[in-house]
Amino acid sequence: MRRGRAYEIALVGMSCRFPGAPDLFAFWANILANRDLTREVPAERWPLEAFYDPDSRANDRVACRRGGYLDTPIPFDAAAYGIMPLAVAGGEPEQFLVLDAARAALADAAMTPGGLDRGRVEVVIGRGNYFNRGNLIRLQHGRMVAQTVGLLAVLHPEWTAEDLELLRHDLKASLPPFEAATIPGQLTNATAGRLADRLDLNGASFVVDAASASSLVALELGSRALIERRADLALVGGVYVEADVDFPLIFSQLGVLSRSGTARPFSVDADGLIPGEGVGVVVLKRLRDAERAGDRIYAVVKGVGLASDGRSRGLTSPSSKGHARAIRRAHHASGIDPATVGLIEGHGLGVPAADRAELSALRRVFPPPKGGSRVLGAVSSQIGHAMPAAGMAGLIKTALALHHRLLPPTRGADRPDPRLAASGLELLPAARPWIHGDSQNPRRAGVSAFGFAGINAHAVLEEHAASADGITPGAILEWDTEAFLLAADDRAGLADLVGWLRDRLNGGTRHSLKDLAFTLNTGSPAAAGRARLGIVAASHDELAAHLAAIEPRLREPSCRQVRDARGLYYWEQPLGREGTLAFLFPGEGSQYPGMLADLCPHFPELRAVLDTADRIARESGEEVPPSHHLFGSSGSIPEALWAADTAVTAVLSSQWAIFQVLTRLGLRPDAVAGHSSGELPALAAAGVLRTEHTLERQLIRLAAIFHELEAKGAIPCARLVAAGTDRERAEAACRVAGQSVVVAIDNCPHQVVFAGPPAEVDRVVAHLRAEGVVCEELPFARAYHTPAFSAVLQPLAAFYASLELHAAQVPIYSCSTAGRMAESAGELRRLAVAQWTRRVDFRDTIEAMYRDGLRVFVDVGARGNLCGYVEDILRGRPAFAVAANLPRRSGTAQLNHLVASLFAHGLRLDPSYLYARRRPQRIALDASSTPARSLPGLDLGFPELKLSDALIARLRERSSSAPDLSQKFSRELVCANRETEASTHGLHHENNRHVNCNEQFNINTYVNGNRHHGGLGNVLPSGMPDLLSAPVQPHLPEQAILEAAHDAKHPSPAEDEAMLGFLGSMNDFLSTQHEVMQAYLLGARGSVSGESRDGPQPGPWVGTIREWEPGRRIVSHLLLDGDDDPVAENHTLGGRRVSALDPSRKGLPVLPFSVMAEILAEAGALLVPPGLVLESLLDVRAHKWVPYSRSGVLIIRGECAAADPRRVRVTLHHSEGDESLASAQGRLVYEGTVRFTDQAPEPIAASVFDLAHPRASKFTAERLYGEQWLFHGPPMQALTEVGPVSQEGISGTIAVRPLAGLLRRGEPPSFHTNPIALDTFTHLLGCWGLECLEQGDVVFPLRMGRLSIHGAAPETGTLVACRIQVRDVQRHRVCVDAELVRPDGRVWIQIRDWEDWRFYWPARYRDVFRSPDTILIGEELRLPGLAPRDAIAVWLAPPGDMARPIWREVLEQTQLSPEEQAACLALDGPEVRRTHQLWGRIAAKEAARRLWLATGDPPRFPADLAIVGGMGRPPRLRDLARPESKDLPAISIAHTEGIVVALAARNPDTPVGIDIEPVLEGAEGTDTLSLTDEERLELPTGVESSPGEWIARFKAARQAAAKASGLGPAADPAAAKVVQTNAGTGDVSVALRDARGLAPPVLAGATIRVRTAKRGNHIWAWTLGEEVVQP
Amino acid sequence: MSTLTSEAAILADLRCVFRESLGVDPVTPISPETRFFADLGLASIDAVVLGEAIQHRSGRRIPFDQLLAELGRRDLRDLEISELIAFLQLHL
Repeated sequence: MRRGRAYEIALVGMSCRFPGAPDLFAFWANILANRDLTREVPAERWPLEAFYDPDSRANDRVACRRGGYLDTPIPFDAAAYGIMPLAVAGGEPEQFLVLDAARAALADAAMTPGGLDRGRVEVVIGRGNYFNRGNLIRLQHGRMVAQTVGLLAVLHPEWTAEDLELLRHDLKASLPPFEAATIPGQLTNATAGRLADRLDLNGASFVVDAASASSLVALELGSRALIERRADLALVGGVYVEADVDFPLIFSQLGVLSRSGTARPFSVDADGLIPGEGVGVVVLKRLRDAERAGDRIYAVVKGVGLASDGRSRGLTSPSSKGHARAIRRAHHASGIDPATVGLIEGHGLGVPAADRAELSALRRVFPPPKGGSRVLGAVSSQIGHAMPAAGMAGLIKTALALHHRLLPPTRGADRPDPRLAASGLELLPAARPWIHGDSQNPRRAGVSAFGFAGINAHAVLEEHAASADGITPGAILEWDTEAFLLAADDRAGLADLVGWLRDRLNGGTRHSLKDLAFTLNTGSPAAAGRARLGIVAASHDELAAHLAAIEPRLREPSCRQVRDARGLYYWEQPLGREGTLAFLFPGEGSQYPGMLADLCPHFPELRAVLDTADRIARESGEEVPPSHHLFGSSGSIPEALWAADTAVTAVLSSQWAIFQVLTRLGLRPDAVAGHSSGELPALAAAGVLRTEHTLERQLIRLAAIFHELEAKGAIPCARLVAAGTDRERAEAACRVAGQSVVVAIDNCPHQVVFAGPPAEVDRVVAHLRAEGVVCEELPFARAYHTPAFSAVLQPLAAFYASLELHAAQVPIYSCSTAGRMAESAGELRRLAVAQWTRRVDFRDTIEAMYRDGLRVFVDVGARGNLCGYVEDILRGRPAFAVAANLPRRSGTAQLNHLVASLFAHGLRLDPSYLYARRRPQRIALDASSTPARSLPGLDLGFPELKLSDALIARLRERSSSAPDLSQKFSRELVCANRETEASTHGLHHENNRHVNCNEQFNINTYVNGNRHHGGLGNVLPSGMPDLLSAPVQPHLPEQAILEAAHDAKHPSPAEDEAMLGFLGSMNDFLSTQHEVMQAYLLGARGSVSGESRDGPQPGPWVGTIREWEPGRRIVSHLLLDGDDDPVAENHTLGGRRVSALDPSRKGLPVLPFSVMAEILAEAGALLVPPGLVLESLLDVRAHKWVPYSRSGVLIIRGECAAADPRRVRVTLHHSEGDESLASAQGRLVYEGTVRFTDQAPEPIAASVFDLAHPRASKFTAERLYGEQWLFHGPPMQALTEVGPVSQEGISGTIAVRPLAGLLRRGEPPSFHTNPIALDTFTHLLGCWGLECLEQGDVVFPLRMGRLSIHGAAPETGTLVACRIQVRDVQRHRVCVDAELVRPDGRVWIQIRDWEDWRFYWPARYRDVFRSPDTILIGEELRLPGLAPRDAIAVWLAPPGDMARPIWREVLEQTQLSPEEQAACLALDGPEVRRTHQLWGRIAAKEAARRLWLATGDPPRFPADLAIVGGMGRPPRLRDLARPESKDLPAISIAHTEGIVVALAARNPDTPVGIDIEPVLEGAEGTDTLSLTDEERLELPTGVESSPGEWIARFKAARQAAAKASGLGPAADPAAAKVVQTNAGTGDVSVALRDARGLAPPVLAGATIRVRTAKRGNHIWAWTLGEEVVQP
Repeated sequence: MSTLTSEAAILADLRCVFRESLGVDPVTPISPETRFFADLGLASIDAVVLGEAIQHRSGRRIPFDQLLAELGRRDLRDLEISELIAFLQLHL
């Protein structure tokens, strides 16, 4: 259904100015070249040093230093518009940019302001109501000057009133003017109003603000004015200039700026937007009016859709639904089916979430295209996001794409978001001709623009074929080269002409090369001259060089000709007389991917032939049209170009296309010849085939014939080989080596093609190669031009028989007769058919043509092969051959060479065709050049306040006589410091919650957490190093309460208020603390100057300072709750893939060694005098890993060395639990000494690093992270390359990553070390361990002897080499030295005496952290008589390391469900119990997992399973994926010291029981007292002396039986007693007591069989409750 | 020892071959940096002719087929005269 009147609006004029482009043409050229026009922010907009900080989230810092900024100066001729210069200086540049663009757009539409019907023109400009230069000028003049003067007056009581008045005047004088005359320049709506005023327009004029959608909303309003006939012409535009840092700050706060500084919309590399700016204006008319007036129409606007998001997640969140709504409405308004849209210009911010929403919207509206893909693009990838002007950039780009039939490229297309392919969308890395085979629908495109606050706009555009195909002014003005054609009556005159032109070039203005060529080549009477010179040049300089080179040659009589492929053509004896020009049409084999692509946009006539080829293919049912094979597209394959049917259409169409261009250049052949299948276009060129509309039909049929033949496999095959020799020699070789091989094509004395059966052809090739002849197999195997091909002649004969042939207008030469074709139609047909089976005698044919007087040969193909053959055939004789197109040269350059050389040969041609669509301007070469009036430029930047030098001198003098203020200031600050410390303590007593966020300054704060802590201290497994021994067992009875308070989902309003009040007071406290610290830092420098910005800031991890005496000591507390902490998130021991149900679960978050090293430095920095920098860290030791936990506190203590105030010893203690403990002690986990110095040590030369016997590592950086050999998250994955490795060491490459990746939002980004780089060094060391250590290959940091940092930190992105030299490998330690080396070869970080601890784990314990779902750490115990699918037992005896607290926690984290973890944490009792709980659960889950694997079920993550029960109840398995499932295996678990066994049975009702007992030796082992008398009788004979093993069997059997019965672990023989044994099998019968409470009851009173077995020194027993029938 | 061993000598000889056998005589003299296709405007057939001419002049077999096959495999199918000289130094 269509609503209202037809939405047919013609875009008749356009103009714009965007980054890197002062006009429409440069803009379009930039897009087609896919240039990045963003650059570092210009100083006049905002100073980088004041605002740029990629690591900061502060609200006055910007994370990106690049943007798309307009090139300056922008000359503006105020006088020409009748505007006072004062008004321009004090106004907004936006107004004048729009005014200039509007005038240029009107000129582009061939209109002048004076020629308009003034009353019927409407002006709508999209622009934001943002800070702009105009209102900033006012703000500065008023409030800012007053504030500045006021502040300085307070600081400088010694300044007089006169001084201050001078100051005020001086500041104001530095600003642009603000007065009555400048006010219009500052009115936002005057952006449109000034246009109406200056162009004297009386229609409506207004500004519209719809944020980034403004331009398209303006388009809709302007179009409506035309549709509703309120106006007959509309000027619609959009403008944005980023005058101030305002919007970058907004974007930074929203976190949407690209930190990498690159705009990569719709790419996997997208990391945010890049701001842009610019202006665009378009001229609109109703389509019918425009057509009636004969206007050039770039494109037709078919409809605009507008929509708001409605209520959504937030005003700044993109809404896919809102986007889709606008896009649908645009299609609704236009009545166009979205399926027919081939190109979409996306909004494309490059912000991942926004791109996702946009792609989702596109997916909703546009169906996946059939065959090929739909092209998506975003001009923001080239110029940045131009805000309200963005829609204009997109609209203009899209209109030009439709006009020039080009699909434009987008930066980042090499790495597209995979969602694109899924939606049938494609980003192009390079421009591609828009070939269109759909005769039903014209080319259509969409443009999107979406604004903040949820306003969405989309426009649907359509090509205007008549304008695009006609000779109309386009937007591609400059070519890569131009041809220059000079002629004179004789050589001397020609040389004079060259000299004259050289003089013109050397002086005066540099005109466009195109205009120079146009002026010289057209309309000059001298072109009739006999002496001719053709030149091709790419630049003025090259042209001048060519002229300089040729002139002496022309004046040198001995020079007969100049033929220089660089672009110089002259012949003393030109060959181009009447009757000498031949056109040669090549056959199959001349095609190649991309051919003619670069000519398509310049010559619609040529492109139209390719459209036809696609239509032919489409109508003959081909899925993928030839253009996709030619120009590449997702889904195309280059080989397809060689299929018979595609070859026919592609080759013959392209020749026909080139022929169109040649004839339009006025070239008329005197004869034609076709090589092989090229005969068909040759016939057409000669007029034998009437080409209007019939050639394409014939091609359809011919393609169909070949398609069918090929589909049937009917085309006779042969191996075709081109050989670099003549026919005689080739035939001699055939006679010797392959009787049935024939020469199918005789090209020239140095090339023939022979064909035959593969084996024989190979023999001929071998024979020829032995003689040194070059042979090359052709990429197709059809036996053309051999007798074999006669098998398929019938359909070809029928085809030719059906052709309507006309009399040839020029002679045609046949390559099968090597002579002229007869005129009769019958003879033509006969020959045309016969040539398919006959040898192509091209050599003889050319000889015949030469005999007949043909001298100049043009190869009308795209490869130029024939040209080479002709030159070879006629070598040494007066003849010339030139190719119309070559793979090695651009299409335009080769065309220029063709024109220049043919002109030089005296041929008649009309070069004006070369300029027809390029807006040629005739220039006055002889006119003395008048220097252009230099115009003042528009000021775009921020109107900054400045002081004059004179005033600065005066005020300085005044101040120097005053008392030393800086001393006074710092004294006051010290007092303030004391007061604040006092208040700090007070606050601590009042609050009992922890807070660790602060918007302004962000010190991690810990305030008196009121918590209990569990029992500390425990027995450790023996033999562990100190590092691992700390048994800190978190015990959190209050955990749940605490969490409830912290994460309350629905707090009452009163609670909210209380919390807000609390947070408010915390903020006050924190900002006071910050001020005190800053004051201290500044005071200590004795300066209050603006340099304070560079001063030291407390680091992010220094925590809350509890005690602080600068120069002496510091104590601070860092809360380790890990919430939202990127370090905790990205440093997870035990890997990052733990659960399929909750992929966010990861291993155990642990403080990295490198972060603790940084904490030492940060604490130390607060004690030493400010301004010092870190020199080194010394003797740093880790004693224990510190996991993050809700109740963990790191107590940081620093103390200056008495002897050296620049040395600080820092210790880190870890405490779990309440404040009192934290303040008391904690456990020492890390310690070291930090040394500071005045200046960073200079970078030193890297140590010699020369590994003996290096080999390539089996690891790559991708593998290390991807396969989880390491456990670090993306921000810490800085190893980019693993270099060679040997026993002596390893090298690799580390990328300097942004440290902001480690920070919580708002934490200050001031680091002393580089924790990521240091951590990454350990990745490489870990890699070395895996590579070079056979056992004990898992290594973790233990100690660092010395770390020193040299010079300034390399910039983010720098690749530094990491070189590790292994010094010593001991049983448990690896000692290394390492260096991180800058690209210049000098050291950045040096590490000496580093030690890693070696863990001796079986490989599966290492690998289980990489892949907990597939790796099984237990061993299967065979159950005799049972298949693994029915029941399975698992033996788990982890290495000692796994019992250590840290690894136990890691295993808990990765192997247990969250509930199980909580249960483990809550366990009371001995440590070993927690360990056994863990292992038992692991073993039981593994038994069940092994069962499932045995039945072919997929692997499961143990953390997605849970063992429930316990506490006297039998354990049961629970599957968290199916919590209600009752159909899970029955399980039983048992453990003894260090070993766990588990049993699982498939049937859930199976009474399962398992147990394990150690075999005791000695007295214990012989003690049979635990057995009953009856049982003693059952002891097998012969064991009386040492019954230990059997006693263990009995115990285990009883236990297993008791578990199976449901009695639970029961050693009481009264409950279960052994009644029978089998010494041979180990089977034991156990009688169960008949008692209540037995479950399952069937076993009550039964005797069941228990199997026992010995493994090592243990007995294990198991039963499935099988009853023994008593004899 | 052949007379055609020094680079300068080979270049001089090549210029002669280009002029006489291929009719190529650019305004700017052929130098080691000159490119066979882009600067001299030659075709692959011309490479065969060039090989033949050089072998004829030197009176010995030169494995030009190897050079051409190598050339055919390149992405940028052009040949600098310096490469040709290096090749000839190896085989003359």
